[in-house]
Amino acid sequence: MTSNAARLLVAAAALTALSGCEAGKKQWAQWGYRGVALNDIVDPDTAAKKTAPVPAPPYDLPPDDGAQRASAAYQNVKVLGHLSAEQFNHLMSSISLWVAGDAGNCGYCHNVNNFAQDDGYPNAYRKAVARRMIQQTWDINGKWSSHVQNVGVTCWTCHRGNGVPTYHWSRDTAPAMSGLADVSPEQNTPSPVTYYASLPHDIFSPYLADKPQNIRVQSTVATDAPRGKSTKETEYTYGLMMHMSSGLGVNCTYCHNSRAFSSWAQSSPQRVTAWYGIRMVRDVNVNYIESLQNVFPAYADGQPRKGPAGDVLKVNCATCHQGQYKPMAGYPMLKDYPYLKNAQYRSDAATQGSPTLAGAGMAGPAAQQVPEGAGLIASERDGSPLVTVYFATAKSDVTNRLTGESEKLRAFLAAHPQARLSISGYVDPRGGAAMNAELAKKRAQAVAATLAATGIPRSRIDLDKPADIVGGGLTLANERKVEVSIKGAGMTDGTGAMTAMHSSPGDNLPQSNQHAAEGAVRH
Amino acid sequence: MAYQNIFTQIQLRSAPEYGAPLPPGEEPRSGRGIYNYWAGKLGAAQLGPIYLGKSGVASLVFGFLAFEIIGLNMLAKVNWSPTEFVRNLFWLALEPPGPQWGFSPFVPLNEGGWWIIAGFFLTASILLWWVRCYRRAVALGMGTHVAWAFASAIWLYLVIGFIRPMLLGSWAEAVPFGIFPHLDWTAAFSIRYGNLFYNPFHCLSIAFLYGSTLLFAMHGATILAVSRYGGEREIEQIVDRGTASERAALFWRWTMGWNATMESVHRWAYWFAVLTTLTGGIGILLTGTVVDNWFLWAQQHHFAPSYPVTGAPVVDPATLPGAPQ
Repeated sequence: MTSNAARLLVAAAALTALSGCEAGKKQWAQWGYRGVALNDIVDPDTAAKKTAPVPAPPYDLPPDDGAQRASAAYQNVKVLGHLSAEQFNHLMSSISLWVAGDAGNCGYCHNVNNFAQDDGYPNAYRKAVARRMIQQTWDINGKWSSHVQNVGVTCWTCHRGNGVPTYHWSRDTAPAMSGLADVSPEQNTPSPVTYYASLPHDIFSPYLADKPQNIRVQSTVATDAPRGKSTKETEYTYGLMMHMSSGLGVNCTYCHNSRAFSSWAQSSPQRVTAWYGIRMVRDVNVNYIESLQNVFPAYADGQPRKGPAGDVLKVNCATCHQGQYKPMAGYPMLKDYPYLKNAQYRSDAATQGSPTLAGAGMAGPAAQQVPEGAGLIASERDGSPLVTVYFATAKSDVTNRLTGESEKLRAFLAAHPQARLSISGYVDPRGGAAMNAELAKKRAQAVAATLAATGIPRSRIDLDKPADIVGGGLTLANERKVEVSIKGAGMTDGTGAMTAMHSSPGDNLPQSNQHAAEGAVRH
Repeated sequence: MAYQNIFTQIQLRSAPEYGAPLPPGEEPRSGRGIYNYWAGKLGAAQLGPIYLGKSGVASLVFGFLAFEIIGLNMLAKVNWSPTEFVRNLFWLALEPPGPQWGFSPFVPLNEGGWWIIAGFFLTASILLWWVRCYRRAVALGMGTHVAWAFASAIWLYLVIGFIRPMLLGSWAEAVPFGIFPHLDWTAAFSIRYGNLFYNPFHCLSIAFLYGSTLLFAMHGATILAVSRYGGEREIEQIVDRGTASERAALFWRWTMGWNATMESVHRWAYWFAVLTTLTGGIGILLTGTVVDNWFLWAQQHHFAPSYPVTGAPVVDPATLPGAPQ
C-alpha cells in the first residue's frame, strides 16, 4: 500500500511538473460578459518576478525657483537650455545611471575635458543621440498621452541601465542564399519575436516603420466583401499580435473578444490604448530613431548599433513593456523628473483635439461634453428648451438631474399653452434589434414618468418614436439618449411652428393627443 | 489455455499465403511474402507479397519527387546543414507563392514555383494511389468503399490546396508544406475569415470527427470485450451469430436501449468518417468565395448570440476626428 501511495505521489508530482502550472493564488478580473472567458488572470508571484526595481532619483530635486537657466550656466546647451541648472544636473546624473549604468559616468557621452564639445571624440555620437532622445521623451509624454497616459516615460523605461535597450528590432536582411531554392528567410524558423511560432519574423517593418500597412485583415461584412488581404498576408498581422502578446505578457483576451477579433464593440478599452501605442511606436521610429541613421556607428563597444541590413535598431512594444502590460508594473517614475514632462505639449493637445483621450481612451475629443454613463445636457433649440438625457449602456435609469431640469420645462409649458413635450428614445447600435427597440421605449417611458412625477401633466407629454432609434452620434455614449423637446410652441408665439416641428425626430409620425393622454406609446 | 488477447496472439507459421491468382494481363506481385514477429504484434505477421502495378509505381515516383522537393527546399533554407535541419524541422516549410503572383502557374522557383511543382507531384501521387485503391478493390471483387472514403479526404486536400485558391485567383490562399507552418496557416485562415468556428460546415465536420472517435471507441471496445467469446471473428459471427455477437448487442440494448447491428455499426463509422472531410471541404470552399466573415454571417443568421456590453463602451479610435493615421 505504502509503495502504491508513493508511486501515485511521484506520478502526480511528475504530472504537475509537466503541466507548467504556476502554483499559488491568482488574481483575476472579468472584463466582459459572464461565461465568455473575458478574464485577465495574473499570478502575483510571476508578475513580481518580472518587476525589476526602479532606481531612486540621484537626489531630491530642489524646487525650480526661477534661478539660473542651464543655457546660462553651461555652454552649448542645445536642447535643455530652458531647464534650471539644478534640473539640468539632476537629469545628467539620472541619464548616466539610466543609460550608462553608473551615475558618475559622464564620459559615456561627453568629452570630460570639454563637456561642451559636440564632435571629434569617440563617444560624440551618443551626445547627439541623447539630445534627440530627450526630445522624443517630451514628445511621448505630451503628444502620446493617449498611450502613456499620466504615467509617462523616462529614459529608464526603455534603457533599464543599458546603452542599447534590451528589446529592439531591425529589418531582415536579403536572402542569405540566392539560386533556385526557396530560402526566403522571413519565416519558418523558430524566433522569440513571434513566441516561437513559424510566423514571419520581420513583422515590424510593415507596421512599426514608415509606409505602414493596414493591420486589419478581417472582412467587415459577412458576404460580398471586396478582395482583401490574403491568408498569407494575415500571418503578418498574426505575428505582430503574437509579439504584442509576448511583449506585454498577456493573451489575446486582454484586448480582444477572440470570437470576433476585429469588433471594437466587443473589445476591452486596452485595445484603444494599444491602438495609440502602435502609432506612437511608428512615430518614434520614423521621426526619432530613424533620424539618427547616420549618427549611429555600426558598432560601438564591440556591440552592434545597427541591424544586419544596416538600419538603426528600432523600437517595438517589448522595448518598454518587457513582458509587463504596464511597464515597470505601472510605477509612475516620471513624477520624480517633472522636467521630462511637456506641459506645453499637453495644453496644446487639449485645445487642438489631438489624439489625447481621457481616461482609458473611451471618450473621443468630440464627445467630451457627453457623459459616459447616465447624465444630462440642457440646451436650447429654436428658442425652446431641449433636454438630452444620457444613459449607461443597456440601462434605462434616469439621472437625478432631470428633476432639476423639469422646472424649466414646466415653466415653458405654462407660458405656452399649445406647446407639448416630445420625448424620443434612442440607443447605440450594439445589441439585437428587438432588445434595442424595447430599450429605446423603456428609456423614453422612464423619462416621461420622471417628468410626470415632478408635476408636468401627462396629457402634455407625447412619446414619439424616432424614424431611426439608433441615435446618430459620433460615439456610442452620444447615442444612448432620450431627447426631450418642445413641439407646437409656435402656435402661440408665432415663430414658425414648422421649424420647431421639423427639428423633432418624431415629426414624421402621426401625432395623437388621445394616445398620449392615455399614456400609450408608439415605441 | 489462458485468455489470449493483443499481446499474446498466437502467430501461425507456414508457407505465406500468396493470394488469389491475378487476372491475365496484370503485373505480377512482388516478393513471395515473409513473416515478421513484430508485425504480428500489431496486425498480421505476414508481410507481402505486394502488388504495385503501373499506377502504384507511378504514385511512388511522384510521391518521392514531391517529398524530395519539399525536403531539399527545407534543407536549403538551413544552408544545407543536417543538424540545423533536424533542429528546425518542425518550423521549416515550403511556402506557396505570394499574393503578387495571383494564380499564375509560372512563378519563379524560389518564390513559390517549387511549391506549385511539389503540389502537382503530390496531387498526382495521391490520385494515382486512389486509382490503385479502386482497381485493387475491383480486382478482388470487393466494393469500392475504401476508394470513396479516400476520395473524401482527397476532396478536402484539393479544396485547400487547389480549388479554393483557383476560385479566389491567388496561390497565397493555399497552405504551406510544413509542420508548424500549416498549423499557423490554419489559425491565420480562421482569423482572416472571421472565425471558422461560426462556419456551420466546420461545425458539422467537427461533429463527424468527434463522432468518428466515439463510434470507433464504442465499436472497438465492444468487439474487444467479446473477443473472449470469439467476437473479433466478425465474418463468422454474421453468418452464425453466437454468444459474442448476442452479448455485444445486448450490452448496448441494456445500456442505451438500442443497438447497432454487426453490419450497421460499420455504416455508422464509415459515414461519420467520410462526412468529416466532405463537410470540411465544403466549409473551406465557401470561405472567402461565398462568406467573407463567418462571425458576422452567424450574427446575421441568429446563430452567434449578441452579448450585452458590460464595461465602458469601446469605439474604434480610427473613426474619431483628429485620430492619427
